[in-house]
Amino acid sequence: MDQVLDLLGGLPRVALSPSHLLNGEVTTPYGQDPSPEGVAAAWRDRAGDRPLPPWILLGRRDTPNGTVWRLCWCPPRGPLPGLAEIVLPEGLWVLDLLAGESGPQGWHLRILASASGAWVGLWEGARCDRLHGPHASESAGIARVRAIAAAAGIETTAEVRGAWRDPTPRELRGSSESHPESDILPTSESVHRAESRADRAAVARVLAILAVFAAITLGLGSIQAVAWSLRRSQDTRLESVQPLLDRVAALRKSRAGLEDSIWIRKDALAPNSAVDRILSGIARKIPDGTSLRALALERSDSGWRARTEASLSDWNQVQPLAQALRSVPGVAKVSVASQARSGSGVSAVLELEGTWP
Amino acid sequence: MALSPPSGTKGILRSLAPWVAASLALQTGLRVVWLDQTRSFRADFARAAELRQVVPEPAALSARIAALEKDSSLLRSRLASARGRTVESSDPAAELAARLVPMLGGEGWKLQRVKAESKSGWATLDLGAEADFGQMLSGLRRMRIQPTALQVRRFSVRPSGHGPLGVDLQVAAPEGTRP
Repeated sequence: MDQVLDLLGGLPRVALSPSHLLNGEVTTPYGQDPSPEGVAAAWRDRAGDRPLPPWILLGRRDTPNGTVWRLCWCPPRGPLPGLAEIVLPEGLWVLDLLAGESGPQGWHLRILASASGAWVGLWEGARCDRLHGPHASESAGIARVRAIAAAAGIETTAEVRGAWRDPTPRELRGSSESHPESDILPTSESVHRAESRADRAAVARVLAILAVFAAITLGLGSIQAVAWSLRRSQDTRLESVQPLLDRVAALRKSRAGLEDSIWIRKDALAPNSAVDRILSGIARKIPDGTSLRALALERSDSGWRARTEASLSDWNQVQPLAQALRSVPGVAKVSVASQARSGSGVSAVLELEGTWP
Repeated sequence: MALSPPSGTKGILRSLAPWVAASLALQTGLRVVWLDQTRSFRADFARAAELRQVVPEPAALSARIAALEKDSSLLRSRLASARGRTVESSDPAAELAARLVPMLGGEGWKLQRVKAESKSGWATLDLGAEADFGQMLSGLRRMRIQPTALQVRRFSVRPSGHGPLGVDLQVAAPEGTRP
């Protein structure tokens, strides 16, 4: 996954490779970094017209003559890794590992064992003076460096041992950025590999975009599938109850037709007019000495209304008659329309309203 | 050995290719593919939600059908009852007169005038008669308990001067074939 992300990010691949280590030094004016020309001049002093190899700066020491930079030239040794645009000498990583160890202030040896062999560095405090390796055996490496130190009048007794670990791609890229002079891959090959890497990165980016497109499409497709499934299940449910729904619709239509037919014939369902009950009720309420001479009844919107003429013996019987008629079942209202003397008695016209009992 | 960055037409193509691909993918996705997909699943979700709310459960439908069948049965019964209470004949007025006149005569009503007519879906019988109070009540009670729907529209009673009462009656019954 990291490799894919590195490819998409256009980051170069950096690898380590064993190399020769040729120790040397360059003196610069106080405080100045060594220039490539100065390093090349020092290389010419040592190796003549041979091509300048990559180099590693080991450490610096300020002297009255200027700043003395200890360095290692790193001519490639053996085939270089084929899948990297930048190849750093393994000694550079060893130097980083040994620099991370804490040691005494004076001269001492720092030793580290890697898969390539044993690495031995001569250190003064935190400054590396020399680095040698890889040696097939640790003892041989130590003996050689002690001999070199002794020849220079340096006594070393302390030894610091470091632990090897593989660098991460990020650490290698960091080293390559801070030490561009250490790349041991030929420039033409680096450019060629970088071009190829850029081609692959462009293809990978296009494929990544297509993958994102496909992923979004698939994600939406999944939602589509879920939605289709939900709708399909509801459609199936609808199909399963469709006969029942049709039956309900048919019954509703049939009921509506029946209701229309009944509405048309609603008069036929009304109870028959109970004129006999009204008349018998009125007849039962007529007080003694009072008689009805005529009665006319007709149908009204709310029930019926009637008008009758009563013969009474005196005026005082009019209201009792009206009161008595009000108690007849079905009679809602009784009013005296007129009253007049008629011979020896009184004639009163009463109007009644009511509903069918 | 520093790497030199890729240059030239090939380098430009390499740089532009991902942007072109992204642009095309975005355009295609937003305007065609994803738009259609979004519309599709939104429509499906909406349809499913609508059906979930609208389509009733079979048990509820069965209960509804049972209730409607019961309603229909009751309505049919009422309709049959209504039809049975109408005057079903090619001449409804004559049919109504044929039903009521003999019955009232049998109750002692002395019929003096009978007029039957059919109008606006009603068969109407207009009659004048003489009867004493008991005969009158008996005749009216027989009319009330008739299976035919009878509607008294007008009724009047008055003394006739020589014993029995003078009765005017207009009664109507709905016809079987209503307009």
